[in-house]
Amino acid sequence: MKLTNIDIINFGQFSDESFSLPDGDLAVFFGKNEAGKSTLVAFIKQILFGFPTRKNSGLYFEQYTPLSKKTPLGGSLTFQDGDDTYVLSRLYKNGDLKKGKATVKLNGDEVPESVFFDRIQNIDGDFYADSFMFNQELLSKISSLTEKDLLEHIYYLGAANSSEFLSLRDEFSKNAQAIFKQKGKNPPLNRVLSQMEVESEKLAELEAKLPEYNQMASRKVGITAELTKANSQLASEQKSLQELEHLVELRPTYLQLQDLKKQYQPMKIDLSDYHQSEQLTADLAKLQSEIAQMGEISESEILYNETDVNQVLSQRLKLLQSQSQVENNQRRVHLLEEQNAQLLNLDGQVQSLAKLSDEELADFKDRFGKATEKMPEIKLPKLALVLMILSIVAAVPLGMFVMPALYGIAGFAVIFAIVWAVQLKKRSNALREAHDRIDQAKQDFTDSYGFEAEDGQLDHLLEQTLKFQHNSQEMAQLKEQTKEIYQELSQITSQVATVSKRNVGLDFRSVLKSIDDLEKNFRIYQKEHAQKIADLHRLKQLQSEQKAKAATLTAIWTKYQQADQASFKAYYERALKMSELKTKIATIEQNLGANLAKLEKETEFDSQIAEYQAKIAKSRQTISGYQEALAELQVKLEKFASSDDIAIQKQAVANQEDEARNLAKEYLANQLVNRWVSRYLDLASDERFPKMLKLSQTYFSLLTGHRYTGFKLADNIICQKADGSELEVAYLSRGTKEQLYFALKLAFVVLIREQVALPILIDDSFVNFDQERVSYIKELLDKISQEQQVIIFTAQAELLPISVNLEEKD
Amino acid sequence: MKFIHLADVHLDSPFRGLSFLPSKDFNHLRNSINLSFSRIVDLAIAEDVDLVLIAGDTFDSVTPAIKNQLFFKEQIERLTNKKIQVVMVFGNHDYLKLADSLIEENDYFHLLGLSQSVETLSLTAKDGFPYQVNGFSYRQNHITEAVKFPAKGKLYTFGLAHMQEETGNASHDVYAPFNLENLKSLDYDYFALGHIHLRQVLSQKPWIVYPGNIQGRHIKELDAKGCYLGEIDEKTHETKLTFHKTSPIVWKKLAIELTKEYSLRELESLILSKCVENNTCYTVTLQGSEYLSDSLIEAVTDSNWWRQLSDNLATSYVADVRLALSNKITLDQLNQTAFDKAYYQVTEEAIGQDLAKKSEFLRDLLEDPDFLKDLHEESKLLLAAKLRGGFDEAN
Repeated sequence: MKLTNIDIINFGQFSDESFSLPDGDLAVFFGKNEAGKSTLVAFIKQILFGFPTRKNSGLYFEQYTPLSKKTPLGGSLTFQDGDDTYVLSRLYKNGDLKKGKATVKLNGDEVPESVFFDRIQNIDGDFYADSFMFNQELLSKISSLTEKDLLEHIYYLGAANSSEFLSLRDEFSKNAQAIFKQKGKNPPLNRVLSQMEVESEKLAELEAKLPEYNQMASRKVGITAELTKANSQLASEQKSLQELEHLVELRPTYLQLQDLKKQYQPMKIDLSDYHQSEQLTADLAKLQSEIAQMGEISESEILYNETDVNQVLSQRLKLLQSQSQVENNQRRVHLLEEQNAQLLNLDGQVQSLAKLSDEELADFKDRFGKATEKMPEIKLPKLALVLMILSIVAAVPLGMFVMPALYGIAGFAVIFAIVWAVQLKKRSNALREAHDRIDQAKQDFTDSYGFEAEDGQLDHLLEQTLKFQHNSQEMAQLKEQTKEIYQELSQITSQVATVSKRNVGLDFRSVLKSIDDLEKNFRIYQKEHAQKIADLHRLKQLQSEQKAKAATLTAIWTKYQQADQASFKAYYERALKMSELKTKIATIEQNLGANLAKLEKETEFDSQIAEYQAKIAKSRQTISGYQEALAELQVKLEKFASSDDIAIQKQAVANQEDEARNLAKEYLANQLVNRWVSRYLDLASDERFPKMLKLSQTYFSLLTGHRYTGFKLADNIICQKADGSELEVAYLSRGTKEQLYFALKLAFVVLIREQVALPILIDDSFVNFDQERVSYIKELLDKISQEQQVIIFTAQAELLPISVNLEEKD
Repeated sequence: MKFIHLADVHLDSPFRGLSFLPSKDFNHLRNSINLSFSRIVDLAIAEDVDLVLIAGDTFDSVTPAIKNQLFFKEQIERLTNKKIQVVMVFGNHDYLKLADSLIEENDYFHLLGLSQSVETLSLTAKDGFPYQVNGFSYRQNHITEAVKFPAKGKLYTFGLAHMQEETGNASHDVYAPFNLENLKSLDYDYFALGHIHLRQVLSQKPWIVYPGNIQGRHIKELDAKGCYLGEIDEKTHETKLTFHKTSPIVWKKLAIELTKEYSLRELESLILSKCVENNTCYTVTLQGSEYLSDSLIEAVTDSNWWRQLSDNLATSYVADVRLALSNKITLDQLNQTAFDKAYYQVTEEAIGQDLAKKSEFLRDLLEDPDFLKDLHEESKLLLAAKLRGGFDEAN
């Protein structure tokens, strides 16, 4: 692509200016200083890539900001690309984007910007400036570069925006370095790494302590066992001490015991003996007083014979009966006499009858019976009458059933009437005979006894007579009985008088009273007599008892060699006291028990007590030591068991690791980007590097008038002289250095001319070049311009044939 | 017969990336591992299981804190008191010396293969169903050779081990590397594995299972954590498996696509509106960080802001906010090719040499794919920020 026309509307000192470029590929703009050479360079760059904004200020040509304030600013460039013509216009008016508004026309038609920019691989202004533009500033910058920088600049020259990428690369590197340095201490990653080590060590320390838990646990078991042992030892010591102290306490008792033992004398006494003696003494006293109370008792006098008395007394009932019998008899006799008198008064016949004997009386009765016999009556025979009636009754049915039987019935009735008449005649004869006989008897009776026998009189009469006879008889008996009773009474009366030894009247009352008196007297006598006998017996008994007891008592006294009860009592009391002593001794001995032997053996306890107290104190100390150790262990164990130390420390390590990870990531990301950029630069330049190297060597040789045959790239750039010697860049003259860079850069542009067909702009770059060198450049540019458009802006008129004279324009 | 399979309890384990939280909240989170473990014990008791298999890394280190040893003991006692058999192996984290620990075996609590070779334990379920467990424990942190397991017998057979599938990379194959096909060919009825914290069933016939760890502890340990409950048909030996979540806290990733420019306040409500779950630690990725200004980027990547967000959530937390680009980094067309090449040529491995020399931690870090991924993202963001700041107007 070839720039053919430059049309400026307004830009810097130019206003409405147009430049046509010559047909050839080399165009030379001539003008002295301030003629507008650099303005034109800036115009070309800025129309292509936009007016500089604050952000978009390229590294180079910054000074070529549009000087004119006139608007619209800008203009157009016309490129010939084979048969195609591109017109690229860029204008800036107020209100437009700072970088200006570009329009592209292809063969007169407006096309999108990209049509043009795609043609130049979308390179940007910086790339163009970096690669296609040469000026004094750039060259002088090159000369100020260090060898390494130069090398890099050369090395990465092929990459677009190489300078920016280089600085970007360096920035990433710097950032990376700020995070981590291999030998640094302060960069954050270094710090975190060392902190991590510290934390990890802490963790390791904590972890190393873990076995302590088990050790402590087993130590705890050990100490617990020791503690148990010490506790039991202490217990035994305390027991011993207590025993000793107890012995001390017991000592007065022991001394008392000794004292009691001295007092004690064994005395034999059977307590029952004493109690018996006491009892006996009391009994004897009682007996004595009883005997004294009884006094003298004589033999009793016998006043009554008890048998006789009883016999007399037994008569009393009989007497009483007899008495009452007599009285009854008298009353009965009297009554009977009255009855008989009455009987006689009532019926005189009784007196006569009463004189009859029994045979006479039987005869009387018989005759009286005959005299009072009843007259018999005539009666119809009853049988005949019944038969007759039955015959009549039977004839009726017979007549009914059998007519002829009716006549039978009449026959029966006639028979019966005949039988009845015969019988009636017989009876009236017998009756007349009986009446005659009875009348005879009545007459006889009256003749014999003087009164008429009347029917029903006989029984009464017989009864009265019998009663009279009875009464008379009974009265005789009663009188006889009474007489007998009085005989008996007489006997009894004499008996009573004999027994009671008193005179007794012969009547029931006297006798009975005498018997009562006798009984009374006898009872009194009997009682007195019995009492007397009993008393006498009792006295004898008491006396015998007294004698026996006295003997027993004496025997007891004798057994204990005592004369009387008083001395025996004294003996007894002493014995009792000794017994008490013995009991007391036994009790104390029992209470002292096993201690007694110790008390007998030991007399001095104080030193032993002191010894045990010391032992106990020591044991206590030991125990408290163990307890403290145990408590301490327990606390430690619990602390261990509940400790989050390890977890926390692990977390701390993890946190450090996270931080290290993040920092490493950041560091590596910067490194990686740095490498990407480096590698990118490598790649972007590498493709052409060998070619570029070869070409630039040719150019370099040319530019140096073949004083140098070329250079080679190793770690450094080594320039090869024609004489075969080699020289490092650092030793090159400034001019040679510039020539080297010039050669490299030109070679690069030449190599990418197919992809990016833009003109090379050389802005007065040869100020420092001497004539000889300028001629070499001329030769080179001639050569290059055969293949690529080169536009030279120069103040050196002699250098090349001038295409456009800016001086003339003005 | 019922059993529970769990692994990688990592008692004592620290939580990552939450140190900015108030200590109360942080301690609550830290206790969640223990809580999850005791919930598994609760489950075992409630389900009246016969066996609990613990496949290694019960403790985070060979020197577990006494507190957690006591806690563990207590929990195991809860099981053994109920006559539940507990069989455990040690993993690469907890190959501790029994003598130095408070852990003791008994009739119901068994440690398997302490000599680092497979040991067989024959047991019977409460109903008399006989089974055996083949397993081994670590004696050091690495086992580089595959561990040989005996052939399956007639009984229902469990495998119990803490190991990792072989990768072919010798430096990675240090956790008793196994070949899945070989393991399958053993045909154990149930192979209870531990070590990989991500729950996964490697094989269903026969069962080869990682239950994952029981509580997520950082961004990488996502979603519900817990244990497997297995139920065995004693006639057919068929085993049914159900996962039971016991982790009190769940880590979740939240990706939010930014489509415009936001104010900090808008971002805050946007994120909070998405954090709807309880007891969750969210890690938020803001996709399209191109829309965020430098000062906003600084604000949202500051943990103080995360804490502020968390304060707005009752039981959940925002543990992390990170940025991601929606588009790839673009340069001038000329150089894009070169840049893309450079981007793919320069690997993270190449740049960590100096760090790797500095410490083992960093060395391990440089081998951690997750870290490298993070690093890559971070680098992209870093460059993108610079390019945008310095270059975009050139386009």
